[in-house]
Amino acid sequence: MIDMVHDATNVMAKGEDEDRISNLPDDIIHRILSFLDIKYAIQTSQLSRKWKHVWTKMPYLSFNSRMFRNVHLFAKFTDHVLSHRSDETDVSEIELTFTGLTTTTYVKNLVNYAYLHNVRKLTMIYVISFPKVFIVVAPKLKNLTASVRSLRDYPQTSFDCLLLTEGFYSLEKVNLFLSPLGSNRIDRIGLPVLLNLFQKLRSANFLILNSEIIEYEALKSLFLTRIDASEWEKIETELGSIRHFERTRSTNIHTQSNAPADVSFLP
Amino acid sequence: MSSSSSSKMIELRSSDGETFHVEETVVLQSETIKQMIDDDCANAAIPLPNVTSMTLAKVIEYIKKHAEKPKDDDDKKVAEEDLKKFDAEFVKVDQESMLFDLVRAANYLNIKSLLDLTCQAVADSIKDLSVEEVRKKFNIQNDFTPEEEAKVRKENAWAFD
Repeated sequence: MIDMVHDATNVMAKGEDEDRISNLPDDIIHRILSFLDIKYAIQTSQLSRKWKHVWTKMPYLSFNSRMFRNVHLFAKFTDHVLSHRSDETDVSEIELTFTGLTTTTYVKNLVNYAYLHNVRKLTMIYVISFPKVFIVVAPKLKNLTASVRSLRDYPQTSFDCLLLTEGFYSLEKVNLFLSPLGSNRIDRIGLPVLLNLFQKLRSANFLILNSEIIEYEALKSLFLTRIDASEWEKIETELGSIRHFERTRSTNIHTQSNAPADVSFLP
Repeated sequence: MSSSSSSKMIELRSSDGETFHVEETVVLQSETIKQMIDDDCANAAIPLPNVTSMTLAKVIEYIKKHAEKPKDDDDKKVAEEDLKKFDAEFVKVDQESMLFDLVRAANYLNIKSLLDLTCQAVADSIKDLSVEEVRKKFNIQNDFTPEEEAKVRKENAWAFD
């Protein structure tokens, strides 16, 4: 069946005003879409036949619970995105900004999806709380960032343990940040970090840290920033293979969270 | 201005045959050209068959600005602000076609910061538009039949709650 109306507009379009955006290579279109909220990216499926599937092959996924009225809707949305996305396409980067617990099913689904699709960069921004234990297994992951924002209303929150174990065969960089925006003082934060079985980790960047860290060969760079007044010595004794070590004490955590992440490292 | 006179100059030739002389340190922001220089292919003028002189002039303006080094920390802060302003102005082009030419050139020359800047500018320009407005803006032909279009809308209804 030929639709006469649509065909007529097609003929007219061959004039001087070419369609500049649809003619771009898919990887550039994906990059443009990556700057839009994923909801808008999905909306482009209505533009034309070509666009129907463009978003489903995007290698960048960025989710933000702020766009949704409640966690339930957000969870439903993320599950939908994953099930409608082209299953053959790898994900190179995932960013998840959310309120709530990492133990929620949709977060687990997302992390699992990331693992199955060879994610190389995973960024998680927790807006309020942080669970006691969070385990990720992602063999292709190279770059992991976890950042906690705004503890203003939860001064008693304690970050007891972030546990990363097993299967991080490609991980090269870990960044953990805690940004208590607006709060002048945090009474008690402990973040013992146990990193086991890494093969390639070269750089670790922790904002707050409470000993029990890292004893393995490949780590070359370590950046530590504390906001409390504990001792450093305990950590230093365990830094056998590290060649680049920076430590700072800061009350201005916000700026710290950007600074050391992109420093390049020793061979 | 003469302080960098010792830097080696690289010659670039646009698709329409115009040549541009740019300092090597500046032009290294392009991974594509860096690769050519590393491979020793930059002794004569480097031909850029995908980039017109008008676009290339803009690209050079961008990489020159981004190659400026601040003298000290105070200067650094000022320079960062200045660069932000420059970037914001840079993507305010008169013709939309120029923005797309820059996207393509940044992609071809592999200048990541410029590609991000221009892609972001395209994204910003469609952010608040309806589907029909986006079609109109970019001359995207709606080649769906009305039935197909209704179906796509229905299939993706979950994303628009």
